[in-house]
Amino acid sequence: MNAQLKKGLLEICVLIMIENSDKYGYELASNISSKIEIAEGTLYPLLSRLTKQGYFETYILESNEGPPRKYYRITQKGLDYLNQLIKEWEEISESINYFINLREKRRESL
Amino acid sequence: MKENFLSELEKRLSFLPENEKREIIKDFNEHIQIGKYLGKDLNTVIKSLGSPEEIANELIAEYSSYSPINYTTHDKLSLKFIVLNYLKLMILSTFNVFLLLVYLFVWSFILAFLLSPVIALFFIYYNGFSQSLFFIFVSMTLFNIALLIFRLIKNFNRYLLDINRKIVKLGTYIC
Repeated sequence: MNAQLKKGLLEICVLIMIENSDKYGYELASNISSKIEIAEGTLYPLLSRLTKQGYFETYILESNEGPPRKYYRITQKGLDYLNQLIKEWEEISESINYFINLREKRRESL
Repeated sequence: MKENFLSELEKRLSFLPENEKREIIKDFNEHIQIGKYLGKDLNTVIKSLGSPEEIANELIAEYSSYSPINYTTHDKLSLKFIVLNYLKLMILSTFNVFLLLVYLFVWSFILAFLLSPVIALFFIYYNGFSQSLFFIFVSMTLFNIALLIFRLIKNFNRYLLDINRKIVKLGTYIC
């Protein structure tokens, strides 16, 4: 898939998954890489940036199972940002669908 | 394998401020630790992270797309920028003040040499033509030397301008 497009979509996916419940990096990486083909390591720069921008907060939680984990929690700012991204995505997909439909109609009439 | 991955990553993140670099390394360390804890094959875990190069490139891209994070690296650069320009200003002003003195010196000679035929005319007027032959000869020579120097300076000016331009451009690639 186109790298730029993938990056934008990845951002939405990460925000939605963390909106659903707080997650730590490994959990997020294995969830996402089962759906989208990415190098898991590239998630961390994204998480770091989104945290810097104030869309996530982090906290460390000790675990009885394995090492302590850094959890990511979405902030109100992050929720607003996610809503805006989804709105943008819907607008884009609507206009792309329009052109795809146009193409299909043309092919049917041939 | 793990140590290799982390040290390679650390090397590639040298553009980051120290605390942010440590944070990222910690994240990756945690990831690998958890994979290990879950009984995953360490090589597979590290391989699925991608190469340190890929990750570093991603970080550079993220950092440049979001300007407020840039401030840390930018701060350092602008300090460098200020120091560099200060140095350049000092070099330029010293160089040009020195040049100015040399120019004044040379121009005073040119002026004196150019005026020497006029003085020769006074000589002729007071002492007569035959008495002043030597001085006429000397003054003509000086006049020609002055013209020669004048022409040399004209060519030299272009060269000096070039030096000035080079000093201004000096080290801009650092910033």
